[in-house]
Amino acid sequence: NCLIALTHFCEDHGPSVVLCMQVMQQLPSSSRQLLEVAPTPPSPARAEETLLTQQQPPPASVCFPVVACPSCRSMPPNILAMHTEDASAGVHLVSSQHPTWPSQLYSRLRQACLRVHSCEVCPTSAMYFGDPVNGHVMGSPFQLDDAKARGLTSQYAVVVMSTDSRMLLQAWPWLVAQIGRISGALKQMATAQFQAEQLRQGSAKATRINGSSWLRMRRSDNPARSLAQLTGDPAVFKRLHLWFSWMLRGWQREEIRVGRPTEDELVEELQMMAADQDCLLDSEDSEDEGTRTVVPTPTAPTVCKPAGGNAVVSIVFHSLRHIRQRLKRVPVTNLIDRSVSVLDPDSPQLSLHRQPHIFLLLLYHLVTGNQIVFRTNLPALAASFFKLMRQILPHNCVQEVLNSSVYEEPYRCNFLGLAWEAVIPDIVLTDPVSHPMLVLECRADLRSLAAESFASVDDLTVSCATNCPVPSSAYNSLLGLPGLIDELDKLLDSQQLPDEALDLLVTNVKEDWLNRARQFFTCCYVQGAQQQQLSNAQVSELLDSLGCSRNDELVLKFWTRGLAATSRREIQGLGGKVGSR
Amino acid sequence: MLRSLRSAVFGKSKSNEFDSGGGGASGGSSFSSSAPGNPVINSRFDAVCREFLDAWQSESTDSADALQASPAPIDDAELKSLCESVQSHIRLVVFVDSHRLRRHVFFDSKTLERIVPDQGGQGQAASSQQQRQQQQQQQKTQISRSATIPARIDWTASGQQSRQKLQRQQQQQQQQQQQQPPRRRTLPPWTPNYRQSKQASDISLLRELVFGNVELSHKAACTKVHASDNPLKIYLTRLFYPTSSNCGSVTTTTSASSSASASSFDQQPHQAANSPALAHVGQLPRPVSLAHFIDPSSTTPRPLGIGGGGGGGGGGILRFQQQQANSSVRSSMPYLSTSPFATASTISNRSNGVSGQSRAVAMETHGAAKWMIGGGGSPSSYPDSTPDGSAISPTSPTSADVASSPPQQQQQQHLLVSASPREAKAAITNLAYQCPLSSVAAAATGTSSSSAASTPAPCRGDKIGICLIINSLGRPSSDERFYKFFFTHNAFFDALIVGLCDDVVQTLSMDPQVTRIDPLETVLKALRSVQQKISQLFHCPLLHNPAWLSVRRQPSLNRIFASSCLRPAMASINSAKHNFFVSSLVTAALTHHLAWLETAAPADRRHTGCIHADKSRAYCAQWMQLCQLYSVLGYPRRVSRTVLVGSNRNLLGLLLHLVSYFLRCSDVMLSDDNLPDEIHYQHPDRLAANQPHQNHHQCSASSSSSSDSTSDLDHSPPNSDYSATALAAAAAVANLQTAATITTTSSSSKAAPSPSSDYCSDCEQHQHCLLQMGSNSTAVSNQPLLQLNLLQQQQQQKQEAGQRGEFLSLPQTSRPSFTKRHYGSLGRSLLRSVSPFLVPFAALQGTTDRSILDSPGGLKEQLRFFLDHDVCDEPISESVLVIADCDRFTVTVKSLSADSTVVRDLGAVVPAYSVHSMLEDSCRHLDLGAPPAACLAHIESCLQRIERLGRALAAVLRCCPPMDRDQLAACLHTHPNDLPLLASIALSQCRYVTPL
Repeated sequence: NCLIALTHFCEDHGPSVVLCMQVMQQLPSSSRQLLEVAPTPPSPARAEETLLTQQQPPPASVCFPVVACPSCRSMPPNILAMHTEDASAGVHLVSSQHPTWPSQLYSRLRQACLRVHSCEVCPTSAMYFGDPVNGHVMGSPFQLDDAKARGLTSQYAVVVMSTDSRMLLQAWPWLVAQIGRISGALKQMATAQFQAEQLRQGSAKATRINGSSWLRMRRSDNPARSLAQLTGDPAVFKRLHLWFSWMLRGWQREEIRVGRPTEDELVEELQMMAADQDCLLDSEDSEDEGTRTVVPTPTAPTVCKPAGGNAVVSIVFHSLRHIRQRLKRVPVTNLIDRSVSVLDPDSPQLSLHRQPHIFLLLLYHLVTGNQIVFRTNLPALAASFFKLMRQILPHNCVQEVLNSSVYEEPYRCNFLGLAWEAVIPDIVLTDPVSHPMLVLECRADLRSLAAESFASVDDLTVSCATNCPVPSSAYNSLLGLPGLIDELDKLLDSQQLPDEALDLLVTNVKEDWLNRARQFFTCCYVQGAQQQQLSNAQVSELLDSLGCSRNDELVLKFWTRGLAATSRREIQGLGGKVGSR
Repeated sequence: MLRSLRSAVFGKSKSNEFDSGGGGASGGSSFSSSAPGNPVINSRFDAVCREFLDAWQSESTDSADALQASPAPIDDAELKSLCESVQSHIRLVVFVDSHRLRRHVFFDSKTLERIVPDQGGQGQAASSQQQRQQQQQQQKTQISRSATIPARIDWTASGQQSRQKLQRQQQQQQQQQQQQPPRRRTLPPWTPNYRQSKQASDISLLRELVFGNVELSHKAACTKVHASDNPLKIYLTRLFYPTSSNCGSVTTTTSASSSASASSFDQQPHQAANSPALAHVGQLPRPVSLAHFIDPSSTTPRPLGIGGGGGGGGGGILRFQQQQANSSVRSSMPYLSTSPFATASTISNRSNGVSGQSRAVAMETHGAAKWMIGGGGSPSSYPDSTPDGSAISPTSPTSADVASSPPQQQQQQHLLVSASPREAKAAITNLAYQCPLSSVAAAATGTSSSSAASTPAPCRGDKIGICLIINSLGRPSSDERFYKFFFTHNAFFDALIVGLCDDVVQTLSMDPQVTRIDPLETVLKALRSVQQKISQLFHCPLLHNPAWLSVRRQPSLNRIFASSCLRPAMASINSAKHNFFVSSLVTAALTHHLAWLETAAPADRRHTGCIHADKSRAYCAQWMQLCQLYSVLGYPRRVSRTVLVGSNRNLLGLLLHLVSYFLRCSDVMLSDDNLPDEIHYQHPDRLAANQPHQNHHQCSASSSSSSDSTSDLDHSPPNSDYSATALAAAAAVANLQTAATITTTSSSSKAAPSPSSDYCSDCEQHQHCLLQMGSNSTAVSNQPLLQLNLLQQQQQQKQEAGQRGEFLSLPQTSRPSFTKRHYGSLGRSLLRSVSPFLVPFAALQGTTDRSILDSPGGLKEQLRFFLDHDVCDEPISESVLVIADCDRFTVTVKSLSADSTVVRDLGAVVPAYSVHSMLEDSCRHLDLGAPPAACLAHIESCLQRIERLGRALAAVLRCCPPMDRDQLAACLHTHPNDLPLLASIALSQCRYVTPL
């Protein structure tokens, strides 16, 4: 969007561009292609063509006249450009005699140079002129002492071009200050050189005035001098390159600050940071020592290849609605005694308007943090199931182990994908207080599936068992169930919601309850920091203010695990402040 | 869940109140109708407001930046005097560069003088004219009164007879008036009210500055700025060619850029209706009419013509016109029908009693858009005697009219050409303007006594240069502030000067003899309006630390905001008696100022509005900030502003801070470093011996194959350190490197917040962290090293052989580079505190001036400005103003569309249920002892929830069949009152969503 150039009013050639820095996203593969020298400037047709194909690399023939005049030249004949790579921004800052690409910049900069030196009047230190056609230019002309120039001064200017006038004008004070520093430094050097020359050769002005060879113009046998000679600094163009690159980099000095991330975003960021640190430190995998981290698991193959058969399309759940629909009519049995039905969908004692089904039970175990085991010989099915279940829970509330051949304890994982051959210990099954769980089982005949061209979950037999049933009365009135379950079930029951909206609304419900959990945690923590325990009435009032009931308390306590560590520290800090007061 | 939430928030009674108001489409009316009128806040709450403002100002340590207009509170009188003082420092000079007069001054506010009645002949003439006009007016008034009301009415028993007699008299008078032929009303010659006394001493410099030394070939409108801060001197110049766009944009858009223009140009149709001279403008023939007033006496070829270029291109038309001049003006000119431009033409010969050489071109397209371009014509040149008052109409000029005109009026011909729109467009873009010869003579003799009468109308190819000069304000601190203020608000200045250009062009295009308006006075009024806008924008107090920006910067303000602002406001003025005023206000702010979406949306969807607006401008933080403040997000583009009107300043201040928490914009961090001061240039051999190779920034110079010469670049002092004080290239690159590191760490820190910092990049702590990381990275590299490899072939070979090129060693900078500091920018400037008048351009403000509620004209002007001027570089389709009446506790929304001239009243704002519950919940949590930060976090979570609901609504509206309001609310499991807010959010997500 912008370039910076040093221009000069040459006594022989008029206004000319000495050095130009521009930002390029990427350098062409060959710098020779970029900077090939040609005898003639680009024709209008060529410029138009380049204008039309700005996004493409410049053609090899786009090049500029060879500048032989020392005062008009910044690069020696064999040096064509300097570039600085700004790795952070992914750009290259290229300094060259003329703008290299796109080629219409050449004419624009040329015209800007002409206007700065010949057309425009600048009573102040800098000027701006521009229009949408020719671009926007800020120029700051200055004079350098030159003992051999006409009037003993040489005219230079720093020109900043941009396609955005507002950006240019907004940065005006800063740019003017920086350009003033650059021109001041050049002036200082030129003055020092000028005085040194005068000391060596006598006063140039006196010589000119008093001498016999007094001329109004520079003598033809006195060649024009370059900026390096004027300032006595052979590396002046390097410095200009670095100054300009500093300015271009610092020009865009503003950044936008974003708002508060969600808890899941915070958790993901922390995990990314931890992963980066692990990579940097090359540390060993720290086994879980009480900390609740997501255990990386091997990904299950999505295509099941039975021996000697064709590949079977993996059987997966597609959406939460799909899970709900599939599990709707699945009977629930007791884990210990499979013959005992915990929840019979055809039970006459249940109300008809709200048929309970296993999905409600699943949601209950899900949102209260109980372990859910999916035991199957189709790993992709379990993976898709848990992937969809993860949408409901906060990121930090999910501990997942997939495709495991042995049973894992609930404190290690609440989502367990278990191989069909694996066995759940009886001590776990018989302890609903310590190990409340819901087990889904699905065993498929892989050979028969392989014979079919398409297999669906609906064709599979899914069974469900639990050691912690919910009373049937809870399903009737829904008073015994947390409100979150009702919200989720209603959303998934709504058939007219498109999938995109449904995902958003499910996320909305999740974030809403996570917010309630945070508020609940905050109030409890702050009261705890003040050495005060909330009374039952206060808890009820707090839950009421959150739109919750006593049935939701279990959910809120579990969901406080979903808070990111940053949020926890923040809340603890608040609690500390409150406590200290 | 909704039921439980509702009961939780409102309780029984509140729930009932809310439901009674929010259910169905008539929720708003019933909701507000329950309010008993005009409650008054008690003195206790007033004291609470004052305490909050004091605590807020004392607690906030965020120092006001340079944009802080008035650090100390000032009273209204002082504010007005300050604004007036700024006006005197702004000067306007208008040049017209014509072929004849070259670059002459048309208007200079410095040397403008008002012609007093007792001053000179013209003054006397003016006074006598005014007296005559007054006398005529009095006579007309008397006549009209006598015609309608009898001098004495007998209300006695014979009153009935008297009334019948009076009616008979009136009927007789009407019959007489109808029988009498229309009399030609002769208006006295017009004289100006202002004149340019003499040329200012610096006019030559200004002329050079505006036009430049050398004529430029390109014709595009050019803007120039010359500025210096010490002393303050800013020249804002606009150089342009008057084209149809200049002229048309004024009249077609009604040019509400200024009150002055409103009084002059916006009233053009009204003046046409009132003035006999311009009464025809609104009744031009369809589809397009062109009328040229031609001076047959002039023998100089002029670039007149439709589509012609100069004398050559316009020759045909010129000959045609001369032929018209030589022919009988009373003929019906049948050959006009043979002209390709004349399908229905009429020629009337009219005279110009004063100059006789002016020209005017009037054009109308489909009766909607009107242009009046060019000068000339006299009142008598228009057939005000026609029954309908139309001068240029298909039937207007009759031969009798022409014959009855005085001989000197026959010097000018009136050509009426009706052309197709396309031809008319071609013509209007090549309009030729002619200059009165008297002005030529005046300019030649150097006299500039007469201003408007000799005002040269611009010709094709003429340039107009407008220079707005802002001089020193007297105090260096004020100068410095204005210097930064000017460049930060360059978008507004640009809009103002463009509006000024339009006014000037139209002024030049109008003949004062016809319009009876002094052009200088008109331009002066436009200038006064611009001065007023600038001074008010500069001097009116800013909102001291807007809540959103300040709370984020200084977390300690959370407590004050939550407990001293939000809670008392909710407790005191958010009841049903107050129309749930706070909830309504916040709902309106959230509905119409959508920048909060940027803070509530997930990270991958942030800045979507701006990016959708223009990807190429996403880098410009200020532009993005401007769009956010005006809520120029989504489709269609709307500009929204909020005004709080009330008499209680403390209440206004509290509510402004409350709203400023929800009316958000992105914070801007500004790097403030200058170029470093030191450089050490070290020979590469030394570096190669003791420096590690770093490759962060590699400067290489590609070369061609020839490498025989030693260039200037290669003249490094061998085996010696080169130190150049005051130059800092290497250090600059070190800073560049550090800056790059900062940027990198900034992004990574955002992704992974450090435990010591808050989430994301929060406040100073985070900056410190960033800078530390940058410094550490520099320290790790021990000595930042920049490789400047001159890729000559030999050096390449050397490098291939393992040798080093040339290096610049960089010293360790003692201070971190690119220090970031908070910079309010427009985020502060457009949020204003309480002032006695409406501040132009403010996105949020409070005012004690209730005229905005009472004057439709002022309201329309406020709304119109953003439609006429692309302040945000985006064409705006709708301008919205949220008006909160803090005395009556009502929140209403006014809107003006670009394709409409009528301000729409969108009615009272119904509080959204989500917003109400959000605010109520926060206060309840405060009551339960939750820390204020947690309450604000709760608000943020609720806003995120609302944002997601809005997106869900967009998805539903896209994919589902049409549903009514209740179905939609049930589908989203939300309250119907939330739907307007959600629809506004959905509208920002998808252009295909129709607003509810």
